[in-house]
Amino acid sequence: MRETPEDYLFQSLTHSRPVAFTKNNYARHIPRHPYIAGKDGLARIEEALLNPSVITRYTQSPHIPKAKRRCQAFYKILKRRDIGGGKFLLDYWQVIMIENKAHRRWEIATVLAGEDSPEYAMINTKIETILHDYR
Amino acid sequence: MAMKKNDFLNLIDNLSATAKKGRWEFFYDKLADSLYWSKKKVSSETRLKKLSRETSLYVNPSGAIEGLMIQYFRNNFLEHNENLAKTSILKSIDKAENGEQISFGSKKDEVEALFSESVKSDILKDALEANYTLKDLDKVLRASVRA
Repeated sequence: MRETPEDYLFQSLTHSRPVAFTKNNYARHIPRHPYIAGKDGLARIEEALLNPSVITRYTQSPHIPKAKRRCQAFYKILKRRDIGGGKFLLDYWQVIMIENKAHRRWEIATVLAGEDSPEYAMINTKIETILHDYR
Repeated sequence: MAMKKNDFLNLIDNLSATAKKGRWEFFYDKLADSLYWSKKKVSSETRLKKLSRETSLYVNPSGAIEGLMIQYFRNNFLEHNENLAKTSILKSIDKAENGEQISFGSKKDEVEALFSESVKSDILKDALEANYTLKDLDKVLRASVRA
């Protein structure tokens, strides 16, 4: 990871150009996503981007119907715990990025750390399509 | 509100009361399409427990709920929660600055009640599809609570 005055720039497994997390967006996220704070948080983001367990894609058009944006989610599973009956809980990080065509780069929109979450809930299969599954 | 023994439904049914007590507010992140109903700042050890494909709860180490997050809110959640979509929630979201508190004015109680119902039904629907029982959900909720 390296940084510029405006951005944190991460390497990733599948993108040739660095993936940017603008410092404004990063700072705005910390109050509700405290786990991303500091060097540890940034290192974990990069780990999820470099060694993902699953990568998915979807499109987003929240405001303007014609302005569909390409999105990807990188999931890094940290722990899988058996609770019996063929059911498992996962600890994982999810990094969601959106293509910024104007800047010709992908930018991190948000980072989530799920803990002890049922496996069925990790990927939103209603809108996400699996691109790569390294599990 | 700390989690009580085997009572997932109790927890969900009391969301509005928990929210009032904890002074939760609504926030919307336009870039990520995330809707938060939470404290403005959650405590540092709080983690997200994702209980459906769209809904996560903020659970702190003692098992107290500090809020919840919906993703993807406009792109997905609202599409199958028509009653909520019919309220003024989208207008209010559009009026708010990105990531800042959303004001519902006199409609706050109505939005909160419908939102709680939508969250409950969303979690139960996905759990049922995955063959999770209410007992399983209780087990999930208690999984990361430290004694």
